[in-house]
Amino acid sequence: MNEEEFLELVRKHQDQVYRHTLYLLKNIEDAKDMTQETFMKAWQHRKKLRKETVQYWLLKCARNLCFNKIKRRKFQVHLSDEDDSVSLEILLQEHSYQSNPSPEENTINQETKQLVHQAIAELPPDIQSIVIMRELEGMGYKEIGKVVKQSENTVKSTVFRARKKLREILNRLMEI
Amino acid sequence: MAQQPNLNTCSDIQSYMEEYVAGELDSQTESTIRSHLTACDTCQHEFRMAQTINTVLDDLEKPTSPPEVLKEVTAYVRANQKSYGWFHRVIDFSQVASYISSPILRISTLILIIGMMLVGIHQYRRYVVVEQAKNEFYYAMSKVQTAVQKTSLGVNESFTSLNIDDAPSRALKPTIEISSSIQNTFDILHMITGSDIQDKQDSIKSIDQNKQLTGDNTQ
Repeated sequence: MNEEEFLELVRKHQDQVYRHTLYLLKNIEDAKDMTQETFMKAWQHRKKLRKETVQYWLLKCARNLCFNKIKRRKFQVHLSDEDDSVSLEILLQEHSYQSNPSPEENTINQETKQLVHQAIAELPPDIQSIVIMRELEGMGYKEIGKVVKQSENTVKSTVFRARKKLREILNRLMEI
Repeated sequence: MAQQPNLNTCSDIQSYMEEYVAGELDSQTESTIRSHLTACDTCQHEFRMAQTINTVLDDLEKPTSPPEVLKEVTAYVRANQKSYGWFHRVIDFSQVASYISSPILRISTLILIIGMMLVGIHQYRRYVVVEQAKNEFYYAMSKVQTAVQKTSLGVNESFTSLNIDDAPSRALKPTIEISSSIQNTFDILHMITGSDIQDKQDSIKSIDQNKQLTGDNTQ
């Protein structure tokens, strides 16, 4: 893979990788760093990358980098009692990517939406990652299975278990 | 034909709520849940919650990557044209651990590394003991040589007929002790290496012969 081919690949996949890291890390600067690091690693390993599977490789790499970052962050938070991640809602507003509300969106008030985002953030990172791939990127169960090295059925059951968990968390948050 | 799920209680119904909202159930299960929902307020509430989650998830914001990401990656690519060699991979070994996602694999890798370290330490300690035994052996051999030389001198030249009986016993006393020490050294070496020490055993035989010879002379 030469330089031009590689940069074309970066242009094609950067948004997906960035979104994944942003939703997992909930910090714009960290998300940028992890996206860059993912592509730098891809360049270092360009000889073994194949165009058909590069998307899975990138997401897998980004996901692992984010998990490591989250672990380090937990340790740092433990030491300093400061968390640099912000709520998804605020983050997306900061990003100014709010489009005109859809008809469905109008039926759900902002508070409920915020609670759902809060519930997503309460899921374990590996489950969050699967939910992002499924719900945000619209990836199929089989495709997600290639990223997380699990069978199609396992991914499907994880997605539904995550939704059930979200419902439980949302119920709890609404009671507060 | 697929087996129908058990849908007798509210809990059963609620456990299929997500699949129901996503439209991933067979028509019979779907109609059972639909008729239950018309009569049960609790399950209706759960259905609305599942629907809300579904709507929010369907409508998650899709931010795009900031332009500086491409800029930074392009700069990196231009500055690092060489492919990733084995040396860099060794340097980057700490990062490899992050790719081992399975905890079992991580533990196995750790056990393997610790095992290799223990084997290395064991081999090193074995090497030190062998080296020590060798040194002791050479030292003892040099002592024997000196003692034998002194004894023969005593027998042949230095001592008179009156004190000749004393000379070998004085000289032989340390020689016998050293001889047993050499034998011990051989035993240790043999135990550790099991290798060829025949030549050294021959030399101890010659020391024994010398000892006998000197003993005969004293008598």
